[in-house]
Amino acid sequence: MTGRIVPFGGCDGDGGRNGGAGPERAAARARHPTARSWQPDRARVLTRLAERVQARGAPWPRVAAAVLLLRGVAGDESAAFAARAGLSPGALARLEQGLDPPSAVPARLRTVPGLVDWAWVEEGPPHP
Amino acid sequence: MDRHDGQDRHGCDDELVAIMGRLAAGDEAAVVTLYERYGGPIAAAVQRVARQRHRTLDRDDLDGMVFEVCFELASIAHRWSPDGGALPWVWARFRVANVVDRVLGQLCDPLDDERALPGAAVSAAAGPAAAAASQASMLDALGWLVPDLASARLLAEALDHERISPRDRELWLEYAYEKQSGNASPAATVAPVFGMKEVSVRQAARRARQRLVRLAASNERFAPLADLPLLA
Repeated sequence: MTGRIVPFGGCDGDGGRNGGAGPERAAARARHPTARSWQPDRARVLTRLAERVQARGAPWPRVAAAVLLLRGVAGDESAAFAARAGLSPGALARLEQGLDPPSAVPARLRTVPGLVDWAWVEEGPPHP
Repeated sequence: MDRHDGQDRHGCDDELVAIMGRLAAGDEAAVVTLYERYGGPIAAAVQRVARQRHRTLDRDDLDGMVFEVCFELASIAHRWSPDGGALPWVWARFRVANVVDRVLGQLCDPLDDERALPGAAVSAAAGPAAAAASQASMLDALGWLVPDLASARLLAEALDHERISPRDRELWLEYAYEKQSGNASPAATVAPVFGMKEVSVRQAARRARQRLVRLAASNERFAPLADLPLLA
């Protein structure tokens, strides 16, 4: 792990978000031996999330996987993440359920660096 | 007791409690958060189970199992409570083992809930109910380490008598299990599961054992414990 990743506009000193976790704890965790010996495989996470959403019959599982991954990495609850992404809670829920196409993903999420291969998301055909 | 950075009196840090709360509420993104923030200790718990099966996991298998364990923990998050003192992947050790076994093919089908429940019930609720559930789970674990049920009950009673915390009970039993299994470096195996340093694990295990040894020496009721290999 590399500590908390704040996708957009934030900083690690987040005023107590995530139950009061601060930069000191993130730094301490990053130094811990268990943090050095294991790294998340986000490509696998995206694929697995998309499989699960697709199994529920959602038409855009890769969109759902991408948005869930971004919110999961940020550690945000839905309302906070929707506000930061410039979405209504309902719009975020639709994206996370795989109900909306890639074009519905706001630019603020697409510009988060290094987490999601958006070409992979765009290539995903709508699930019948 | 030495505690890992950010851990509260329960041995679980606030962020982990918040993530488990989100999982209990059905927040699917929290599975990713758990994987991102606690993948290291979960990976250690998975590796430990694999070693018990005399199997070695490659990086690909391990990554897949860690994420599956996160989904498994999500499905039972509503039954976990930090008041019990056990980290979720320690509390749900049967579930972790099920994931590993499914992938390794050791078992054709996942263990059913009836078998998983004793472990899953550890500290699932606060108060007396949690104490009873913890004791049942402890007896299960002690079955590996002591020769008969009476001794197991006496040992569980001694742990209560000495007010050894739920987290230290789990830690000491895990440590003792690894040691009795012939692991030359039990602390190295147990430490990442609990997110602690090896030296802290050794200290906590030694303190727990010493308290029980003293109790066995000073209280006739607990004297039979002195004969257990576990306290030798």
